[in-house]
Amino acid sequence: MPDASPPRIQPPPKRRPPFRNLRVYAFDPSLNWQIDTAVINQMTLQVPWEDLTPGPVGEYLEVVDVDPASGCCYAPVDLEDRFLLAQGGLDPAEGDPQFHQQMVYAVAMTTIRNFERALGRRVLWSQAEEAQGYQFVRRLRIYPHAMREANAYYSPCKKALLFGYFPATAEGRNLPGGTVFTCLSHDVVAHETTHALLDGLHRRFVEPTNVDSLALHEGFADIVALFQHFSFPAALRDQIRKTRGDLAGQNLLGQLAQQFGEAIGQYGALRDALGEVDKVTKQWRPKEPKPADLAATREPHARGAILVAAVFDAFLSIYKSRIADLLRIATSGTGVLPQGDLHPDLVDRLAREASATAAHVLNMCIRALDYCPPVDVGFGDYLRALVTADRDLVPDDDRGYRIAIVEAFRRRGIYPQGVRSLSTDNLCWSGPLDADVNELRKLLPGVEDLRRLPPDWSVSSDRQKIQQNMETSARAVHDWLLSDNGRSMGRLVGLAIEPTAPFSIERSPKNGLPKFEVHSVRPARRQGPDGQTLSDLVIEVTQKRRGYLDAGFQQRVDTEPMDSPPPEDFWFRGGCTLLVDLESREVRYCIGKGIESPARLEAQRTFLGGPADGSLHATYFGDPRRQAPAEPFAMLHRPVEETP
Amino acid sequence: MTDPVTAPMTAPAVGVKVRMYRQGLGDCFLLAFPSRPGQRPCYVLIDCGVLLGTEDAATKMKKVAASLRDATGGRIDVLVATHQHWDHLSGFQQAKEIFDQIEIGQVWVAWTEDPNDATANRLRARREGAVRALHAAAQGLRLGGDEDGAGNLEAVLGFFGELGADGRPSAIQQAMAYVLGRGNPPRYWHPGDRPELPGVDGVRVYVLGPPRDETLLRRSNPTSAGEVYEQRMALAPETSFFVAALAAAEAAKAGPALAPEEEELKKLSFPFDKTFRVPVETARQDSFYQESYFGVAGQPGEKDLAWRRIDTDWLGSAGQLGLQLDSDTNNTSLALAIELVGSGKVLLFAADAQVGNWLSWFDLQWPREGEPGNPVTVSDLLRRTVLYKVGHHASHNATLQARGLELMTDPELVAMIPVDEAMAHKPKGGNPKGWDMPFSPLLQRLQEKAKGRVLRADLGAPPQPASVGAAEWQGFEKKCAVTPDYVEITIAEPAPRVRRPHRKT
Repeated sequence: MPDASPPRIQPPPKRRPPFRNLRVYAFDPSLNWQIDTAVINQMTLQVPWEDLTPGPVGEYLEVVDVDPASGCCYAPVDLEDRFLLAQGGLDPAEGDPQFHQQMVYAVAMTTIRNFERALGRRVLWSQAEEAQGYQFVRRLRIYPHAMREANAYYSPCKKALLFGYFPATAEGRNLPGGTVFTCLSHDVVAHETTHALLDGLHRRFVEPTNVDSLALHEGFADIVALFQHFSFPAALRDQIRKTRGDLAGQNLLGQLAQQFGEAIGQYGALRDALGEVDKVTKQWRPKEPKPADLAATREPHARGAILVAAVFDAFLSIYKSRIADLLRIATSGTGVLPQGDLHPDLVDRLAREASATAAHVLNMCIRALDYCPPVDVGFGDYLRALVTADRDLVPDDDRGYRIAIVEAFRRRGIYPQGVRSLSTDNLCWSGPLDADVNELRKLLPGVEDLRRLPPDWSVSSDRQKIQQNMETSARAVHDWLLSDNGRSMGRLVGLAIEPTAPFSIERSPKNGLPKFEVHSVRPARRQGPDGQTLSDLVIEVTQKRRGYLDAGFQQRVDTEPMDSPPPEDFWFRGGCTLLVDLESREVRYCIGKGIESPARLEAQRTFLGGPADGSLHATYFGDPRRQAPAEPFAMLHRPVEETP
Repeated sequence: MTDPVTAPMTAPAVGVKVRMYRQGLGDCFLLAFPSRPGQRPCYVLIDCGVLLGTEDAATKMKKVAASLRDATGGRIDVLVATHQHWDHLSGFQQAKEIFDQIEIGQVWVAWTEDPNDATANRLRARREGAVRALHAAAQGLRLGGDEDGAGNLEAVLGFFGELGADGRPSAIQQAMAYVLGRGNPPRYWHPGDRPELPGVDGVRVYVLGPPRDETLLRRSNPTSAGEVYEQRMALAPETSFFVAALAAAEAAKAGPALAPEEEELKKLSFPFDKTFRVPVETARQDSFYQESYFGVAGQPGEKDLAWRRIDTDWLGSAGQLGLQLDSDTNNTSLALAIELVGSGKVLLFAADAQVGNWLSWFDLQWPREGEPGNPVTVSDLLRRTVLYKVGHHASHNATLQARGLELMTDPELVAMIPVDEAMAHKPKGGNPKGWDMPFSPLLQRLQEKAKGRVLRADLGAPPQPASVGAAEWQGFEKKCAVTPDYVEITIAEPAPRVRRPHRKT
């Protein structure tokens, strides 16, 4: 044998590092052009370690850098390259597409990680709808240079994020004609990733069934982008120092997508949670909340901005209450800060409080998604979900976080329907009525079966396996509901599954009964009263019904069985999110939107049936409420034109 | 060639008669003003066109032109061409031979048509380039399989008429060139001007728009300091998209070749240096791009990758840019207010003016005869408006509400809508319901404001609303004349009075 070299000493196996360090722009490249913000704009993100192939392509994401408008592609970055591993990836550079690939990967992974941490389980992308059913999609695709347009969007049908680039106008700090890359804005990347994550959890939230549907998608995506700012240590300390701890004043942390906003000719950031720049005076001024604000607008971004402002306001109240003691300590009990710079230690402590508060609020906002109805969600539902989710995580509200949330929402006119008061207890979702509890208990099988339902969603499990197990569980729940006991209880979970159900609900060819779908079966963690971690089972069931703008027509289709009913004007969806205690088998919450609710049907009809908004798009290309665009977010994210 | 179809149009003794032709979705208004005793009326023609794609459009427009010739006795005293849209100008190309038989006194157009105005030239050049690029984008969408998107876009681009071999809107240019050529020389009006109607006493004309201010002209896309940078050939926001669309169409042999300056812009528009750019042909051979994006031609995996590809998604913004272009062109509309001095009544012909055009009017004022301290303002003119030619076939975006329709408070208000709802609602591109014209909330508000006196080109005589008494309605009906070819209304005036005192605003 030619192999003559002696055996080498084998070192003990190395542990995989927990993180991969990757350098990014904290906000976007425009902050690098000013001396006071340049220093805080470089940061290193710690992304959970995973093996990557060039792209980067990992477990959750695949970056594919084709640029069809330029007729070219860019070489995929190899983050396993030893030079790059040794220096936290590539240097931030606008002129190097490989850095762009690195940055979208790092920011999107950070956003994913925030979701997984908050939900305590792995996240799944929404499945691809194909002719033969739903297909598992392992990786969200990211196209960093997909188009030449001041736009970026999540494509629900391609399961991809598309980022545009465009020449800047002459406003603001941008070089006129210089290229602005939306994929280099932390806020834009986090925003789009959040759309994808939300779609993965609630596929039906994309459908505009009420005035809040798209606004919630938009507002929630902004909330995530905004609160991630508080995990940028250098920027946070800098802004605390500059605002002397008062985060309610104009500051970078409350602004979204500054370069983008300026580049399209706006004088400030694209959106600002705290205030706005006056178009005439170019002066920043804080926004005063008014309860009439919400009713005054139907435009998704404007409504979304109100949601963001409400959550940010709650954050500020909590932050202020958390630093009150620090300020007293630092000022010998007066609470009045002296002139001049704050002590660096105080800046550090304030920053830590701000960061912890922001993490908590973000956590709360994400966890609330498990407490939302599966269809037709409104801001009021989201408020109730927030309060309930927080009660499940922190049973004792001794710091008044929940009060802060409710107060901030109330000040902007966000109220849920059908609650008697705005006390936090009243706002929490309730369980089923006593009489129904026993019925529902009959519906759910023995504890052992129930325990088998939630698959292992822990962070080490395989995501495709999770999806498969969830489908198995969903089939089991579907079967229970079809049983004799189950059918009669359909109404309790917002469904109509008896043979007498309205005929606008399609019947299954297998059993002749109304079709319905078990959308999701997943675990959710919560804190028990003694601090122990408990698991709930979240079951989402949904059903769809043909909706007609003409009520008389609706009635006919509802009551007369027809072989081929006339094409619907819209889909009317109903269903329920059930949270079941895995220990006691008790249904803790039953968050439903009844499929047979005449009031809700009428509300959706009014929402869809009114005259179009008269926008240019609606005038020439059709009313987007009735002709669902193939790319709902592409249209939503294009700058809106002014209408009379 | 065409037999006379109409007798000469008369003018009232005092006042004006307004005729709206019923050729389809397009504007054509003939106004007859009484001239001095014993003389023929003064005829003013405002636009003459019908939408591209109208059935037998040329025949229809020839019939209209012949009617114009006969109604005016072969002489139009003032020919007004409001803006470069096919549904306003097509007749000057389709029925050119008939217009050749008509004597034209003066030609009135907006300053935006002036070949000696640098801003106007730049606006037009930008518009022509945009039309050319957007047609290329429509071709790209079609090649990519998005027939609906291509059709939507082309329907909107139909406002610019047929294209020439170079991809520029040649037919509309010919139409406008014809109009300008009849002008010897044409008058280019600016906001604030007060042109005189030749031979007519007791009528004042006020030019309201288009504004000189470019931010108002392109109201939804404000740019400032644009000029400096355009000289340096920097990219305007849409330019990088436009050159890409043109380059892609050229590469697919579906569009015109790039002009030299477009080649320059194309080079500027690449986001990265050449060293980073990997041509698609090279990438197709690369294992990463084969596995993730292109696949290998003919192999089974290729199809599985197709659903996530984004080859033509970037063209998706073309639709919005097309709408933008359409609006920008509408904003160059010559907007006129015509005041009958005796009664103070006002006729508002704002063509298709959009938000920016309307808003700019409020900065204008004119000295009022005998009352230097009380100038004529647009609020004042709107308050006295008795005839409103509804903008842009009563779409939502061409009639301002608070600073427009709501200021028209005269109880005699009549609205004229040159619209053909059936044509507007015909499926266009991927939109089965066609265009939303007339916009129902606007129509409803017009009905309320004008108490049912809404004259539509497609419907002719309006029905009497339940809320209006028979005597009042008959009074209105008496002023109208409806034939299959046109709808007329006479704005008569009481016998001339010495002077009507103006209310102070």
